[in-house]
Amino acid sequence: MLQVANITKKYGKVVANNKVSFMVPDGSITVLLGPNGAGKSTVIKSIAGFLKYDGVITVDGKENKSLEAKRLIGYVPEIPALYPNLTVAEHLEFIARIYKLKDYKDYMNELLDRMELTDKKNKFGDELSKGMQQKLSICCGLLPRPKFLLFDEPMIGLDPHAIKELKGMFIELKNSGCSVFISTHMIDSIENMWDKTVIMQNGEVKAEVLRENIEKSGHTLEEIFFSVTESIKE
Amino acid sequence: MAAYFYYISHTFINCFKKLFRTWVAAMIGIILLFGIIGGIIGGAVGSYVEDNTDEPYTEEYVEESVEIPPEDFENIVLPIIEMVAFAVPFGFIFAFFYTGDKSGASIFNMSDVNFLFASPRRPQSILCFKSFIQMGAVFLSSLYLGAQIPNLVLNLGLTVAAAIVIVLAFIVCIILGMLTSVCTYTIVASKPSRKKWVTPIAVAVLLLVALILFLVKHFGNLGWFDTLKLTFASRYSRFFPIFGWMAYLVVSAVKGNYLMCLLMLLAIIAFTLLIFYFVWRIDADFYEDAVIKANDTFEKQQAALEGKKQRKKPRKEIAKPQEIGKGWGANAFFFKQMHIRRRNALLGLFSKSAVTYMLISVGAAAAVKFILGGSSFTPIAITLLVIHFFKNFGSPLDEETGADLIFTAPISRYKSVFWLLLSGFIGAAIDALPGFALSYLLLGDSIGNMIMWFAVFVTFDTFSATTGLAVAMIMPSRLPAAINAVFCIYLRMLLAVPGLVLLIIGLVSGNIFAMGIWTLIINLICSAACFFIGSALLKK
Repeated sequence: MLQVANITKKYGKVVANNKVSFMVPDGSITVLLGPNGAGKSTVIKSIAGFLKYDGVITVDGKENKSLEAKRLIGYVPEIPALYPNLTVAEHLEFIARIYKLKDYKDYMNELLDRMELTDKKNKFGDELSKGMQQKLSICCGLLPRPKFLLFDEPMIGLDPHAIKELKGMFIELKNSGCSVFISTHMIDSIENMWDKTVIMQNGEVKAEVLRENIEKSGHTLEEIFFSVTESIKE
Repeated sequence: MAAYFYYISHTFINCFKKLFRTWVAAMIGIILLFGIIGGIIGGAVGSYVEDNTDEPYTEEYVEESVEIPPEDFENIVLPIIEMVAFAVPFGFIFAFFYTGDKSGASIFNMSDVNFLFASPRRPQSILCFKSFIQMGAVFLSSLYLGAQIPNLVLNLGLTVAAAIVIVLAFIVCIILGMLTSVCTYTIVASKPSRKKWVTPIAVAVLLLVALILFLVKHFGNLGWFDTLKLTFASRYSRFFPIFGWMAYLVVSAVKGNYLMCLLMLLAIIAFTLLIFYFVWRIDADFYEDAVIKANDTFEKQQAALEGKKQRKKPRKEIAKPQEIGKGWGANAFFFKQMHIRRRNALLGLFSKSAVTYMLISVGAAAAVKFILGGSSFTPIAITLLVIHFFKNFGSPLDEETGADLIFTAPISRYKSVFWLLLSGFIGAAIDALPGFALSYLLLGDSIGNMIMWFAVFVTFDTFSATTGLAVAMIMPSRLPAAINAVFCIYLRMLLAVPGLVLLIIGLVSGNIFAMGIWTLIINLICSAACFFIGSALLKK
């Protein structure tokens, strides 16, 4: 279980996150939903261990910045940044070596195949289009088979086929016991696959919505999102 | 370790693979081949001439070798060498320490943030890995200093071993400086409250050095040379870690005491390893600071790739709504540029370059008139030309080619490029005018000379712009940026040679006016050729 407790992050006087708390259950797809500037990326980066913050983040009881926790977390950034002098295949091999993975080659080839990068294996990082860079970034995040996968706006830059493939991967990961945590502002991109949604605005958690509850009420996520965020504006 | 070694080896090999995929590699090969062939031919011709002349070649004069008395060598030369060998590492390490809190993060890029920071590796492991790469790069790029070894041997009378030791000591010095920078950064970035101590510590160190010098001079009743000798080149200073050891290493090399060289080198290496160990053990939490700086650098790089210039500071005011008001078709590019100048420039006319040129030309003119007692405009013009050459690199149309309009608008690209370059030509003339005019008034040189140089300068600006454009369009886009930049510089220098040769002939022959006119004509011809090449090859 990924537990985020009372995370507060300030950049000077700007409060990016204000006492943000939520939990990501095991084997689920949890979405962090909010408009631009809500503080979603700050939450993701705090979980990934990049930022200093007040509060506690634990992964299966371990502090998120510990090496044990980092073995359980995979991170796919919003904007891919690849090594310009490593090829597609070398990126994945480098990740495998960093994470000390054994018998990774079959899974690596499977990921490349699903992301349609097999014929681009020998292309350098700076020779790929933005969409391909994003796909490679996703492959690198998935290769270590982490227990918790953090995706920061994963659909941006992907073609429809890749989006469909990625959504399929999310479901497979969930079914295999992995927890997927997706930060996005595009409601329609995560419709029909989420289990829990945390709605953020202005650096705060405004609502937590469970799929089973929403199905009973007859509302859609979109309706709840607008009702929560627009009532705050009013 | 295996992962890091994998990264280093593959990156190194792939850099060369990339380079050899382009025509640039073929060009390097051709240049080297011509150099070797030229050297062989030159050597053969020289030998033939020597063998077939009646009179043997003799030196017309024998260079007097300056013999330094042994006591002067021991008491003056060696201490000076030791002082310099103490001061240089001190200067490097001090400078790297002082700038470490800002420059330390520069070793990380956004790829490192995405792949390494999230990985199950200790921050110190990643820091040491990246530092090692940077130091390796410094070491490799410093290998050219090996070419200075013959110079040190022949001109300073050092042995080969001593020369090698001195070159190695210099490289170690730079590496230690970088390590100090990383160390400072690690300590400061982990706790921002420590940042405020960097400047006071730096000032305290300088004051301490000054105090020591004062005390030694005052209580020793010594002159300045003896004070410096006692402080930085005595048996006491040699115990001082790093600086003293480095100084003694160099002096021992000069004296031929290679055992002491080895001991000092081992001591320096041990100290370096100690710093590495310290970095490894420190409680490092620099990720946030590194993420912010890596992100800034990444955004600048992305903007540069798209030909966009990023503002260093946000605009204070909102631009007044103004209409461009003029322009139709291709000449709209010209009026757009003039409109931007009118809005941003001083008095609607003079850009920051005008202020720069004015200060330089008036300063140079004052120096010529009041210090050298001359009145010729020529030195001022040459100064401005040199500064202009090094100030303006890259394609002047980066911003336009970064956007799409120049490609998508239904206008001939030759016309678009022409009007854009014309706006640059007029801008250069406006910017150069105040400096030229003020310098002319100050010097009182002939008006014809001033007008000639003004015309040369402005046509040189056009030459710079068109050659910059042509070179940027010729260079393959997949070439690494650093290599691209180096080749652009060399190509532009090559193209500037005809004009430069004419000016030199003019200066030597005393006929600078006529040669200036010819230079102007050459500039225009080259500009025209590069204009057509650049426009034809125009690409993003």
